[in-house]
Amino acid sequence: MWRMINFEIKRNMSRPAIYIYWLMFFALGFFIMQLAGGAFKGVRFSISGDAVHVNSPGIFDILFGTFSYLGIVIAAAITVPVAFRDFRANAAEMFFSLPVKRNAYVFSGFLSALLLNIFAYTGLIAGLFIGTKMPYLNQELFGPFMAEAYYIPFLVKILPNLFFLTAIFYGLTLLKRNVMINWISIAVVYLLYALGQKLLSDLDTHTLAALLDPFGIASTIVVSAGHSAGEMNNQAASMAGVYLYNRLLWVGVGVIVLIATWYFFRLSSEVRVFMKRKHNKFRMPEKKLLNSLISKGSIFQLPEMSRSSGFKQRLWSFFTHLQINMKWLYGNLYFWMLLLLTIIFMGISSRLAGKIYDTETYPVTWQMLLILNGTIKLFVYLFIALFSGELLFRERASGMHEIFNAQARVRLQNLWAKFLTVISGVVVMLLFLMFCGMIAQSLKGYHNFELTLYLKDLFALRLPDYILFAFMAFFLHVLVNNKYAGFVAILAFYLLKQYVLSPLIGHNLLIFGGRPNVVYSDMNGFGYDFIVSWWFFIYWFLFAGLLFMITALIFDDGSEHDFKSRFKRALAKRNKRFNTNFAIQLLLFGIFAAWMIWQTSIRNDFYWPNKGHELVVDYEQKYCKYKDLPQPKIVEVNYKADLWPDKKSLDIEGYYWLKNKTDKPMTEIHLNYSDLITRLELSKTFSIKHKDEKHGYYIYSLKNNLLPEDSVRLNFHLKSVPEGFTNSGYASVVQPNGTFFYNSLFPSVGYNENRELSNQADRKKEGLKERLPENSLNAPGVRNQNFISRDADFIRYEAVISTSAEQTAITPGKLISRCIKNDRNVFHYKSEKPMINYFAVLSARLSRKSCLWQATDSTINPLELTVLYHPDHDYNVDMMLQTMKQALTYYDSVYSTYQFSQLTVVEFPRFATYAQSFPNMIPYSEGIGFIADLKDIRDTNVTIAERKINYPAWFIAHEIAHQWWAHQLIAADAEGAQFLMESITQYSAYKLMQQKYDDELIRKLFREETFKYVSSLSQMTLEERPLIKVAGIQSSIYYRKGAMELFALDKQWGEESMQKTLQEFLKQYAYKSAPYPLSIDYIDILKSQSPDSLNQLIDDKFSNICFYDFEVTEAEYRRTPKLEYFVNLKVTVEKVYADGKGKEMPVQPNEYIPLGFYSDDGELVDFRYVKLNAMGERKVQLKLNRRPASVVIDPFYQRMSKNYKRENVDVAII
Amino acid sequence: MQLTISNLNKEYSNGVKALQNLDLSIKSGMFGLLGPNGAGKSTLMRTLATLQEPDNGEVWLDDINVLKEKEKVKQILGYLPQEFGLYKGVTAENLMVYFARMKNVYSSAGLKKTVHYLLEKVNLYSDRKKHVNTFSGGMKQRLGIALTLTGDPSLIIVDEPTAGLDPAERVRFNNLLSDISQDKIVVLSTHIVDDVSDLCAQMAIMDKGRLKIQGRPSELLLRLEGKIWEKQITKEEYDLYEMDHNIIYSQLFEGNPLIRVFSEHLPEEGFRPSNPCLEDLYFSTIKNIELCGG
Repeated sequence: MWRMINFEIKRNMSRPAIYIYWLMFFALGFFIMQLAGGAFKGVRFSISGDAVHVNSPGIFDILFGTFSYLGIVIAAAITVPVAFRDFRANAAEMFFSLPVKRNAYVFSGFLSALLLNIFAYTGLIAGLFIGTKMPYLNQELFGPFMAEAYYIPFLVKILPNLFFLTAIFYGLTLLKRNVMINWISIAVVYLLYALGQKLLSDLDTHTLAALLDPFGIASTIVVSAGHSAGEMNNQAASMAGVYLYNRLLWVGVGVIVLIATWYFFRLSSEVRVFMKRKHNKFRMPEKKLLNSLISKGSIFQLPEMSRSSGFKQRLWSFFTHLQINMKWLYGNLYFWMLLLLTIIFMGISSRLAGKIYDTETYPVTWQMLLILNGTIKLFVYLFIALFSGELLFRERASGMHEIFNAQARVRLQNLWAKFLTVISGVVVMLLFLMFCGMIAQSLKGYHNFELTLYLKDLFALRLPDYILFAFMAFFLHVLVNNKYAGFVAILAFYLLKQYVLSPLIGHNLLIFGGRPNVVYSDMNGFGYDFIVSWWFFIYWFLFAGLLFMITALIFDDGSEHDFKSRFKRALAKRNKRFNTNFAIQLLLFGIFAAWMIWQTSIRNDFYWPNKGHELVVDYEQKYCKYKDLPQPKIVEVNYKADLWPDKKSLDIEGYYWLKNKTDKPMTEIHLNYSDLITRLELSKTFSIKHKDEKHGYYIYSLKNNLLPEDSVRLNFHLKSVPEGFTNSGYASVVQPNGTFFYNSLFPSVGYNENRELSNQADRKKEGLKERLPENSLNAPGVRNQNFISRDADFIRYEAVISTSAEQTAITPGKLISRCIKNDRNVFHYKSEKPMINYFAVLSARLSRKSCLWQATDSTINPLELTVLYHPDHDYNVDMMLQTMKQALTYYDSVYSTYQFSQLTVVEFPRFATYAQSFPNMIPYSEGIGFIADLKDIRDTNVTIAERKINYPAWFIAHEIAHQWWAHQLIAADAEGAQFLMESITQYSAYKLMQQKYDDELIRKLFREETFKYVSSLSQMTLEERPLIKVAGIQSSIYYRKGAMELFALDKQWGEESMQKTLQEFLKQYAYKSAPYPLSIDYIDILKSQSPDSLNQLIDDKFSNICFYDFEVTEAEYRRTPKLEYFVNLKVTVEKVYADGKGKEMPVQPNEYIPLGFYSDDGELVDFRYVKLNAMGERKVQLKLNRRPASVVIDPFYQRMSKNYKRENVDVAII
Repeated sequence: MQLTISNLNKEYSNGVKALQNLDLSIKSGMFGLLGPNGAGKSTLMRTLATLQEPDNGEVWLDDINVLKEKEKVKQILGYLPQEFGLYKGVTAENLMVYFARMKNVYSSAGLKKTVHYLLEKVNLYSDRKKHVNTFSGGMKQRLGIALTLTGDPSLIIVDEPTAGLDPAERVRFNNLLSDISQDKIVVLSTHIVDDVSDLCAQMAIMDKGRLKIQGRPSELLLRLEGKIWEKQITKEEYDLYEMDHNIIYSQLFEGNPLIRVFSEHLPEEGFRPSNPCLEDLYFSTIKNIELCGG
């Protein structure tokens, strides 16, 4: 047996394929290190946050998992030929007739394939290792070399994966004696992986996801939730829990397949008998044979037949090619199996479609298309890659190629026929998927089938993508001229395109098949860029035509297969006709390419990915000296905007009032020009002292100084009309239906710090001086500006916006008037209260629903609350209005009076998926809530686990709370600012949700939020910071942890006390310009109002990074005759303080820990705080009035713990 | 029609010289190409069938430059390689129709007729609805020739067609080839000498890439007339005889070698004259025995 392994490995090692695979892995590993290590300016691929070393065990664990999934095609390409070694060469009988034992045969092949696979993967290790050693990399991002970073993931991830993949590929090939079964295996394994990823989105299906994912990627994610950056730097995912089971499961699958192979596999004799019988069946009868032996000397004369080589005949001939290939495809079981798998995946995906926090959306058509164009896409690519290979090498596989290639005009006709057959397969797949999409829609009770949308998206936008891919697949298959290596080449092309060319080059004309991204929205349709996509398609189809001509030229239709002979033959094949055709096509392509280049890169600017990076560095180096130069502040914004959706044009004419708020005169005003600004003038005499168009930095010098408290008017005009199209489509601010832009288009005053390169590692590499990510709490002058805008405090705001007659335009401020002028809708808005300098304009065809709301203060007139929505999206409008009322009522009564007289929630297209709060205006994406399926939200008959979270209401409550926490009180531009803004706002939203629903829903919500928070720890770019110093990029800390900690304090201390502190905070700082409040100001208020006993808790929550770990180890109760329940618990509590890197230091707990007791049907029967003041196991005795079925420590997530599950422990009866 | 091959050379990347300065001229009718394995027969056949490029040299079929105008050649070419397979899951008839279409057979009535005629000719008519992958080796070979003939080609190249056939099928096959060879060039390569003697009016013998001899079999045999002698000897004597005589070949007869020797005169007592046969020609050529005796 060892002799056979030796032979097989030597045979493979003497061929180039295995080295090419090794090199591919080497290149992948090397390249990913360059990309992640900062080798390319402006393009850095962050695998995790920067706080995690690029070469740490945690990262390599992720990378090895990913590569073992990407490498599945290579595993197949290595294994299948080994399994096929003797069948293919027809040496099977010879080999089998040797005295070879079955076990030796089966296992030697398997082990050879496994060893070869392992060898190929060592390329990855070498690539990663050498990749990390490159001297030009940003050393900030790397940690010390750790051998276990390489060998542990290799042993734990790669090895088991290779084991079961090799077993499956090898075993099934041996048993079925058919290559195509492996394509199905690939699809199934891939499906399980994709399914695992989908199931990860729901906490309840985590374990299932972890087990299903054959590559162990999902299980790694599950077991390493809660790992800090520091832990990622020191260890890979630990082989415990579901991860261990996952590995065991899949190795077990491998073992079973191997045993089955060994059991069912038969050596030669049986096979031969089987074949013989078949032959005998068709033996000619004796008599006939004898007759035919007599040579009659007959004359061979073919019947009269008309032969012609006219067009019609060529068409017939082509049709026959098509027929014979189509018949093969549609008679192929594996094609239908692949389609079936795709449909199964589609079915599962559609069930999980659009889920946000458990809550699904209505299965609108774009949701279905999102699925069809998501992971499913890869199944179609798989089909193209595999079946184009099968079709192209069909003649060769059946041994007919020589007869075939001696036929006239076969090459081009047959190639086209095979190509069209593949395309027809894609069309069939898409049609099936389309109908499945509709079936999925109707199963969910949704019957608004938008057939034209399906057809337009799938066949006018995606099909061209697939066709282009098929052109490339044909080219690569023909070039490589080996089925397996061809698949690998296609995979390499895909990876190269996706992960190398796209990020590094970014120009769609240079990346095969590149085109602008088109996002469909119910509101905005395909936008303007559908057409532009087609310009790119035409460009690529012209190119693909050339590619196909070359494909036909180099197609191996001879009997010599080495590259040299093929090359010679290809050159010889060029005849005059080919040359003419090629030249014409090249000319066409050239002309069109020139036009495309002119459009995208000359008429419009194209920035290479590194260019933006350089600009930013240059800007900082040039102008950062003006950072602290006192500048006037914007005190009023007033403009008139004209939107022309049908002309893609926007015209804004307006002015700012700038005021010198310092006590010194100013001589210069520094202004930032955006590309759209055409005019920028001061109302006082000035000259342009410095003009830098590249960075848009202008310095205006005033003839007479601007004195303290004096103002100057800045008039501006800006215009956006796209000239032709760019690399990413029309550069149009205006959209057909759903224009949405911010004041970032408008001019701004002074050096803009936000434009600086913010990433620490990148800054260091560029030689920029170290910069804190945020102003520190005690930096001088830190309270002088708010964190929204440096160039303004509170402003006056007025805008007149005109748009097309059928559209409604909205911006902050009260709608003063609305009229129709020249068949255009004109809206006049003016803010009644000073507001922060943060506004947006939105215009679309919208339906309106309003209601009135009476503030707590009865002297105030009822306010108008409005939802502006896409006419088809009326599902949740009433609920939204209801929530607006509830939220306003709640915040108005516990915080302070709502400052505006209108409040509008307005829907915008799904090119972004968030909601945002501007003064009295809340843009809300159509992607997150307007189509949420809330039918079951009020269904009280479901269990707690089945209850759904009304996230649209929650998001609205959040945005409304911002009207206080951002628009009344605005934080200073310092660390911890987002604690005041987002944490308090999110806490307010939780309070409303608690009021609207109950604590159990909050519990469910917090489980998700805790998981997301602890999972984010390993992704930190900065060191983790406590809430009072949280940085702007640490969103998971301030949105999730911050709000939960505030809520926890509220629960323990009491909501009224908590509300009082917030009232007080508002009282001190609302509407006030500088000095702006810091996070510690609120902590001070908290501490001053709360009893001293809570001081430690407040510090732990907001000033420290504190984690708990607790567990109930024993729980039992005894019932007295008086129906009292004495409960004995054994609990362990551990408490640690973590530093920013995740290093933990145990501390002595000395505090109350919450305990919840639940009944059998999940009802909370008792909730207590118990004092614990020592580490380790403690005994707790309690007396309850109702029978506890289970107990859980801290059910409502009042203490931060990495154990996000909070599973109930059964209480046993004694 | 005339096929003219001049100065054809081919060396494979592993150093094997498959064709060396090959000059050959073939007229209408059957042409038999004899040679041992590795003589370069298949290389020559594949080159004629446009599947392979020679290093240099020219091939002309009347006024068609075979190496350059491949498409033109393919229009009139029928090629049956030494080994071939057939699509799975396709019936013989459908496969024939497919090939007929490729060969520009136009009217559908004519097409059906042609297909049926050919299937009849190769005796597969009754099996026409069967999937070709269920065919036996002989049936496959006969279907192969039918496919080759579909377009009424005038240049037919068949590479060792009878190699895998049983004797009866071989005879049948040869009869068919003989039937079709009128007005056509049929190049038949084989290492079975009888095939050539039975069928071919022209022949050539190749060895190690070189053309050894060419001409009409009868004319070539004339050269051996009276120069072939045979003798029954014992096994022990064989080595002795081999040293002294030009043994063309020997075969066992009743357990002892019957040797055939080339000699202008009676080589030795005990030899008796024998009529030359093609085997004598073949083996003497391969063994480089000077035929014309100087």
